[in-house]
Amino acid sequence: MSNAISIKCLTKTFGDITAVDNLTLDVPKGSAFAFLGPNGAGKSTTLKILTSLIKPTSGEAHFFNIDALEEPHEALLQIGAVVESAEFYPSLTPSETLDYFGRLRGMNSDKISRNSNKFLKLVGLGNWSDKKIGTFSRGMKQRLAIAQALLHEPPILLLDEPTFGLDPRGMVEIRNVFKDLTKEGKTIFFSSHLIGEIEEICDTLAIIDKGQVLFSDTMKNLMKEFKTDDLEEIYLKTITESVR
Amino acid sequence: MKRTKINRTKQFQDVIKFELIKFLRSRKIRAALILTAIVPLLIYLLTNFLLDSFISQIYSDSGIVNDYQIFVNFILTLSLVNVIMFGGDSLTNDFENKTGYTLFINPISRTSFLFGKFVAASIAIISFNILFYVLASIFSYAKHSAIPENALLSLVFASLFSIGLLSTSFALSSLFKRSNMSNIAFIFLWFIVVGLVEYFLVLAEIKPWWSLTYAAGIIIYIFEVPYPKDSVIDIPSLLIPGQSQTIVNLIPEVNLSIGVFLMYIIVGLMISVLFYKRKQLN
Repeated sequence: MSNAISIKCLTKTFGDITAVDNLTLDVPKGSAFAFLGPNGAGKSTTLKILTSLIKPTSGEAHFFNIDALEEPHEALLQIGAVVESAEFYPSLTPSETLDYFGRLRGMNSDKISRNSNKFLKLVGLGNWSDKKIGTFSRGMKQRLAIAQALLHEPPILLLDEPTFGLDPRGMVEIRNVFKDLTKEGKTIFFSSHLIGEIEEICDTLAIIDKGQVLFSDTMKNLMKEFKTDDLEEIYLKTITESVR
Repeated sequence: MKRTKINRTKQFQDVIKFELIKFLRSRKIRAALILTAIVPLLIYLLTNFLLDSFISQIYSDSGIVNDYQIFVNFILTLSLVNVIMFGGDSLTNDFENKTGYTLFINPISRTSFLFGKFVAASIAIISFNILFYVLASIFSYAKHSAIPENALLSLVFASLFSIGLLSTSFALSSLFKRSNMSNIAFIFLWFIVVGLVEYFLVLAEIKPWWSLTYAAGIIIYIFEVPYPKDSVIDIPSLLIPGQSQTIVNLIPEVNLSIGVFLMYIIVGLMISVLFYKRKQLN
């Protein structure tokens, strides 16, 4: 199987702190890949590098055959992303925001309008498309962030805590959206603390701590190796061993 | 893999469009509108009804040109206020308010984005300059049944001055992470540093020709025909009634001042692009 995302020896330092330490990872095309780790493990920093929000100190990253560091704009066309707690311009409406982002991505008006309606409905904002975002709750902004990630129908989705701020019903709805997307063959790179969520959506997993990958394989192989199907137990064991 | 060509000119136009929409829906547009409308009205009322005798003491000829110059004097302050409102946070707010996390994951060129924001802020600021001159002209017409020659030229100079200020504001904004810091630096630079340097240079009878605020003198002097030359003038002392005080009036040259405006616009934008492209969302 070819890789949708290839990360090689990626390092990012902030002064004395090494947030990402020589990280190497391959995400197979069409997989739902979980990126699991404790706070400060380097998950968000890796996602920010992949989305060109920050520059790495060294290393390589590719989406398919596109160098994400050398051709960031070309690479960004291949991905849709939800990074950190999403914020939008409060005076714009969701429709206007998606129109703006669609234009920046070079989409034509018809496609923007069609996809805007489709994805706003999908994330449950169909009736809010013309309301100012300034009046939205955290959860509604998160739904909009997911809609903007889907807008241009990218083959790869990079999601950092995508259900953050959603109520339990919203979480279920959005997880179902992601499950459907994996069935459509999209590659999902999914960072989360919620082990239940990862078990439900993902088929492949990498456990990361102190900026390094501790383990990376399919869920099936992972459970075989640790002789248990309890992901939480596997995760805690891996992290504890890493601390020792 | 299908490769898409992004049209940077189109991106630039889209940024202008959405920046203007944001301005039109913001509170600052209402604040700028009130300020621009109220100040000429206040100047008109004060100079014609309340301070008429004082004004006539300072200006030997309280004709159309002097009356209009009293209005136009305020355009310098108005420009500073409008630049802070429309440009002060332009390059910091996406980092400060975290909107950059959804914006910069799009394949947008930072240069197109910066220029789009700059043009949108320039349009907003120039629109208020125009409104100010229209109101000043209405009040001038109400009193003198005429508008002074060169009012349009003065507006062009005022707009170049405002864009020069905006460019310095963008340059400072590109250096800081927070709008408060860049606005404080902007105010400190123009009101304190440049103000003091200019003051002492003029006292020493040295022309601070390189200063944007000194060059802005052409916005006011352009009404005088012929264009004035450096002079020493006596005005009534504000401290000792009945006495006069001598001041040296160093007049900025028109062509040089236009060059200074353009230099600030170009250098400010170059600094902005250089630093803005390096800004990261840590």
